[in-house]
Amino acid sequence: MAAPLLEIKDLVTVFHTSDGRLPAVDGVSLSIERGQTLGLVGESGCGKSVTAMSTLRLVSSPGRIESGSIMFTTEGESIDLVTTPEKQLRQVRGGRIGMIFQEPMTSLNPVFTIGNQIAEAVQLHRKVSRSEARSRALEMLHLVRLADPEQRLDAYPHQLSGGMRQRVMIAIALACEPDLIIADEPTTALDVTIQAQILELLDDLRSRLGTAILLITHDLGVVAETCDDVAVMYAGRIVEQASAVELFSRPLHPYTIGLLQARPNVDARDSGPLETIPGMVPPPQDFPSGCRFHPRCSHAREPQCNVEPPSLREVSPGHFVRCHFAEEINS
Amino acid sequence: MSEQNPQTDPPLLQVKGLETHFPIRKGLLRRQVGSVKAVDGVTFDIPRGKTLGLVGESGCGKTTVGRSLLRLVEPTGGEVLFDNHAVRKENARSLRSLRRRMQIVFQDPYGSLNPRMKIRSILEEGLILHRLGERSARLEQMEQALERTGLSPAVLERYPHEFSGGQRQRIAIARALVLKPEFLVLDEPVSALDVSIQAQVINLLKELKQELGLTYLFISHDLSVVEYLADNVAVMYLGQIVESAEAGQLCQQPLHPYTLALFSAVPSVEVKNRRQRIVLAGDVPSPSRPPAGCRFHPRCPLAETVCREVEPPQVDLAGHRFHCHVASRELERCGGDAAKTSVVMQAAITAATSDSTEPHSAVSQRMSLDHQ
Amino acid sequence: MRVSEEIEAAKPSRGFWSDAWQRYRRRPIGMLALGFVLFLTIVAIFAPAIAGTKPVVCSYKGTLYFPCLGYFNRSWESPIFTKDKFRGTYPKNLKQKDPESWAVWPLVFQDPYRRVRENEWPGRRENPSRDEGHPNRWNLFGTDQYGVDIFAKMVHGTTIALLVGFVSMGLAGSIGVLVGALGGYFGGWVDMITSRLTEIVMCIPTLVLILALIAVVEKPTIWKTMAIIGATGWTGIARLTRAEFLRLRQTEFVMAARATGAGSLRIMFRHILPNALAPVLVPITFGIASAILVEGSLSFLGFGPPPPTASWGSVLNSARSNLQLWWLVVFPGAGIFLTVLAYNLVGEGLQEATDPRLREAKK
Repeated sequence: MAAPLLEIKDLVTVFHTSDGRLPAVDGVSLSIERGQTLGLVGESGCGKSVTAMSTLRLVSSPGRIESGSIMFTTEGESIDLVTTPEKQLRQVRGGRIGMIFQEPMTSLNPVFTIGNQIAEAVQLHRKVSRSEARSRALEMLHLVRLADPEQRLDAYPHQLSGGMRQRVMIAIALACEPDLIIADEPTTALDVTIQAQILELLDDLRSRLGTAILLITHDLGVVAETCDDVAVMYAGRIVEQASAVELFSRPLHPYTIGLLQARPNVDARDSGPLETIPGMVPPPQDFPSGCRFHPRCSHAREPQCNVEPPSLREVSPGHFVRCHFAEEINS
Repeated sequence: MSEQNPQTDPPLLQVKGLETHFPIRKGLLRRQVGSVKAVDGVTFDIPRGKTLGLVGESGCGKTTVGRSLLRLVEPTGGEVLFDNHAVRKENARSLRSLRRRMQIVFQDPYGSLNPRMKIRSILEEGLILHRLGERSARLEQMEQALERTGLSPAVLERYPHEFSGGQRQRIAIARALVLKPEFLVLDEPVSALDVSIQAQVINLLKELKQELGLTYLFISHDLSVVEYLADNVAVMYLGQIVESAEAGQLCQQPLHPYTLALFSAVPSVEVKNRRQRIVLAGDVPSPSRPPAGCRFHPRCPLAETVCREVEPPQVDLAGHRFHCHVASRELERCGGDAAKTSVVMQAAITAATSDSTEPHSAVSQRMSLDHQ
Repeated sequence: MRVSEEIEAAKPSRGFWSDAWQRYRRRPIGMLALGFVLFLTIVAIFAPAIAGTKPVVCSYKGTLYFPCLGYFNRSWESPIFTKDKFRGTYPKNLKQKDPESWAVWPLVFQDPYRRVRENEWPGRRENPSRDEGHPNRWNLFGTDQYGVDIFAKMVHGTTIALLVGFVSMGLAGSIGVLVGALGGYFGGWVDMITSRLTEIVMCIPTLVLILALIAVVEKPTIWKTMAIIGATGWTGIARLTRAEFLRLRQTEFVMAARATGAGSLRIMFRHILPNALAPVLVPITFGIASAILVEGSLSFLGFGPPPPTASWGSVLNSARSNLQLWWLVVFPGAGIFLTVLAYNLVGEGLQEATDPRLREAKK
């Protein structure tokens, strides 16, 4: 079988600050096949966004990718995004890999029209005339099903609603027909009904264009509804990875289980308080020894859990867990 | 909908036809050229010791409702009765004493605590303003409030920036509790928190309600949180309540198309039964120019001519209230059976949205061909 | 269960200002500038003890006197010295009129207001004047065309240089913060009036107004100049304060304070002002620097304080007609330059230490 579209291996991204060396991402490995959606889930500060930024080498000082490789394979050609020269990387950014951010208001430039911004993205990567770029922009607005695309082409970002702006962001990301879209919390700032629109759009575009998606989110529900595979991150590491169906029907890591149980719903109403995970996510300067989840884990046992860092083990085909006692807990 | 007899025990909070319009001013003379009808005729009761969940999307006016109740923004019409005090008619002095009894917790735990003040000053301010006790008594009350929210008295000498989001939200709750209020407006108190922290704060709120007999107005965009915490739920759209009922009733038998869409849009972790999602077209219109007739009609898959012209009257089915022409007709047809009507409505909307799935435009079809 | 157990063991709590100070301390240039400003303050306070012809302390006819205080205020010099006809020359008179007397003298025996005469200090020649007055052993910075010592003038001028900055900016800051706070907090017609007022004052060129007032006012003193600089220099601060208040009054903590029952005054000054202070303090620091420059230019143009007052600008003014006396230009010029630079550097350091955006960029 051919190499996966994107393969991240043992990525370590470190921030050097006055608090010392902070490993925000500490040995993350992921791979995405063509046309697939991979969900990367975790709470704030777990390193999921830094992983995404590292993929395009957009981590700014004092952050630095310290080790690991990110192999990106298109048209039979593989490049390592960690070592590839900046000039070539610029062709990849926005060209082969598109990016969508959380806040559609600030990620669009307020002084240019929508049409200009999409056309610019096209012209950066393709030798096309201005009018060609503009017609391509119009095409993209049709594709993302923005209402009245002809008029919106000359609109400014502030004239659009949050949902529309996110559609424009998607149009920009898709303008050069990338092989991969990295979507960093694309629906967090949106209302549920608008979120449903955007998620449906992404899903639809993926099945029609065959674009792979790396979806970064804190919302397990969003992942369950849109992703093929899921990786759960905690404190800079992946703690569990499996197909979505497997992970949600048979979660194994205590953290994943905790997250799922902490979701309130009407059925849990009369059955006493919600299950919670005590304590809070540790900041990178206080990552605990051993298993990083052990201080919050109700199954933690000394001396293994607080001393020995568990490795990411394959407990059943395609289901990886970073826990010493995964089988015991779930039996 | 509740067992209490309204004659003997009037609700703690009664809101009738509440209106809050913000003027839009333009030009040198700041002439009023229109108004944003953020809240436009909202009516509800909250019995003592109960929680009303107010759900809606951003811009629907739910936050303005909460702030109008406390007169943090001035309502422009309607009536608010708190324990038989007409809140809108109170003067500055009596409003102050009412504010002790009605407190509010805000959404953003980073914005709601003054960054230049120690936790002690933040908590103590209300006690000083309301002349509640001497120094030592105040300290005792503050420690008690902190204890209740799961914090140690050591936090008093610290500044807000030293705490995480969840801890700050606990401090904000303690600030409200220190005045021993009867009624709390909780304005999206957990939306800004991580999932694992969210559950902790939700549990805390539930616990406090039981221990102190508090009454809540719980405002949120997150249906699952509201379902879990509230006794009654009201769904808002464009400044009006479109449907309200007892929580379980509303979740199981929603009747209004908007409520149905809202429920189906909430992402669920049940992978196996990926529901048929109802995806509404378009965006919420601007509250400065609400649509005529039923405000939801431009986005409603079931909209008919009557919806565009006539504002739907309220239908009250034993406490389950809603405003919808189509649903009330269906209800009649089903002989007043809410459960059956809900199923019919669900089916009708699903049918209407799935066959209207836009045919792929010629352009996008070409695109996909290009790609292959 | 207590959530905050771990907090107790954490490092000591630091407020915003002590945090800002920690950040400021890390900037060597800012610290150097701050050190220079402190040095000037010390010089200003102890000016009569550094350069002067009046003893710092003396014992005369069995009583202790501090004649040097006369440099601050004529009446603080004991009348006994006038009665005993000292005529400002202490060394000889003290010895002649009371052989028992003793005195502690300033570091440099020179007077900022008059020429030191021959043998006024035992064995010292008369101060040179005009072309001969270049810096020498007794006159470190030289003398002006009348033979008055420049070093003494500079030392005593420090007081004015600092006072101009502090008094005028203190006034401007108070007016600016008050006007800006009122407009920003209340909005509506209050904002309308304060904003128009600010715009009107902004249109008035300070220097021209000062010149006009000096022409009208009977006795131009340095205090009146400061008042005018202050009364016209508050517009920038007002606009900034207004913007901060507009922003902060929307915040949830202000809403929370209102929900607690706090009134407008309390919200303005206890909740909003401390948060608005840091960004407002920066232009005030820069304003001090520009006030010093304005005073310098005024004195240079000859509209400064009347002749007996020693100010750096007036030394520059005396150089205007005697350009060959380079020391009349270099020393006061350098003094003004360094002071203005120091204030600007302090302001910049303050900005970096208090601006949250710059702080985040560092993280």
